[in-house]
Amino acid sequence: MNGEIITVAVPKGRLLEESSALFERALGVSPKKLLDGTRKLAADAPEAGLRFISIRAADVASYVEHGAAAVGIVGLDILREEPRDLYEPLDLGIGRCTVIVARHRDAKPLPRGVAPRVATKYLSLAAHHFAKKGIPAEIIPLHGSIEVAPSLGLADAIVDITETGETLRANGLVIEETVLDVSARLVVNRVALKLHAERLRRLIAALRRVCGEAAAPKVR
Amino acid sequence: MLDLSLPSGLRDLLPDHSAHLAELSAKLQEVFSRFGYRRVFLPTLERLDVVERGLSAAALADVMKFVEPGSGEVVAIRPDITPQIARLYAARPDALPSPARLCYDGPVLRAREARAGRPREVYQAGVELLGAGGPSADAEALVVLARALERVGLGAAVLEVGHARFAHAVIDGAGLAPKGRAAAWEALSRKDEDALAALAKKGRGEAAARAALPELATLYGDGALSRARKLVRDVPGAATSLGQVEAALRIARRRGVKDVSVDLGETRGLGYYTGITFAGYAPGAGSAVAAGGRYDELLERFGRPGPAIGFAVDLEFATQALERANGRAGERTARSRRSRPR
Repeated sequence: MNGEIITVAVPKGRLLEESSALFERALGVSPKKLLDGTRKLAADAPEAGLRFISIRAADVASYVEHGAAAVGIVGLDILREEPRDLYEPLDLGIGRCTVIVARHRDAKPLPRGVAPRVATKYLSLAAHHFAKKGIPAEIIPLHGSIEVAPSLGLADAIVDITETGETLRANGLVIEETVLDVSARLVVNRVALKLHAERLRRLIAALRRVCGEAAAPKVR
Repeated sequence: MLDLSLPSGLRDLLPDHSAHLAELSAKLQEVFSRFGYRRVFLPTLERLDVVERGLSAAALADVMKFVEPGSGEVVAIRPDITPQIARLYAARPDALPSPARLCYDGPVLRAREARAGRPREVYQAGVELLGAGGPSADAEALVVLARALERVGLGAAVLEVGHARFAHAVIDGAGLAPKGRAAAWEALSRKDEDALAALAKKGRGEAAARAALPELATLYGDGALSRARKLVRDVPGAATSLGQVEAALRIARRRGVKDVSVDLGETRGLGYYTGITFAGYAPGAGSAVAAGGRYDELLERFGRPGPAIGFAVDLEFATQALERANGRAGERTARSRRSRPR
């Protein structure tokens, strides 16, 4: 590998496992294995010319946008909630889930002209969604346990992310509509792509090849 | 209590940083002048209709404008110096015969912060070659930029060339509905190949253009020109654009500019550009240290039609790159200066 090392920001938590598997198949290096072997937040894979850093999922986009990492893995919900100046060259097809609008299953429809109260941590996605439909929703920002807001009388509906819908059902909520289909994206810093054009093009292509395999195993 | 804070997004440049900026600016002007570019000083305020002619509707939203108390005229603080130069060139054919080589140095201001923490006011030094078209003028702009970057100590910067009409021809050729076309530009700005592939399936245009659409996101890196050449053999507009890029690079190479990279899918700041576009990138700077391109339709909007090309160096980003690259060297000089015997 010529030139300096390229830093890749991988998110802590549930995306780490799946994204590590992709890197291992594409380039023969697993960020999870490397990071597990050390108590540090960074681990080098000199044979691939890469350094992996382990970052909170919500912060990966900031690290990449400001150039502390050249490449990162970020959920589409995070990218669309707070738009960033990044390249998003690849849908990794992992971490699939959905941002939805849900309501309590016993809730009566609101009288005409009443603005619904919507509890969410996705302030901008929610505001945008209702504005597009011409509904003057009142957005209530919450940081967690969004799904209990309707039964506690705080909100008429919620906008939240769900994978299986189980937590929603357990709280007596039904999905009303989809706001955004989410999967993890590979993001690249704009200047880094210019400075390491060929190396990053190859990295993206290698990951694209294994994402394609993962997406179509049933055909065989 | 006296509030000494500045309006948001503005800042003072203290002596050390200012000295770096001033030194950079002086070296740039020296190179510009060596190539025959003559300095002009232009006002900070322009009438809004002048600024408007040079900008897209979206860019116009970022312009700081107000009403002059005396005349009721709407004026704007310049967000970009190129349209001012175009106005000057159109207004003064007597003083500026064609082709005119002009250079400038000064601040431009935007109404909003492009992003939290990014300054609204930036200092630029640039050149405009007015009334000259074709590959030789294209190459001249590349040569001046390459020499300027070398002179200021950014010889290692990556010089990248693209073309404002290349992606246009492919997207137009793919035959997308208006909504799909907007989505394609949006996706291309993020180099989102998957989204472009999905859009290409919906297109009703030529097969060649639809096949090329997702590839727009990958036309950078080694062999980008030859990959592009194969891709757009049957997309006439794109092939013409590509020919212009190749011709400019050929001449620039003969004049000693080596190692130019290519990205034919870059949509950054295309604004009024109609031909080749180019930018300089350096490690340590958060964005391009220089950017420019050919704008053959702008002068006409001011009433003196003609081809033109130019670029501006962003003094702040260039200084950032230099300060970071020379960080240690800078400290050393400072220390040796301090320990110098009296």
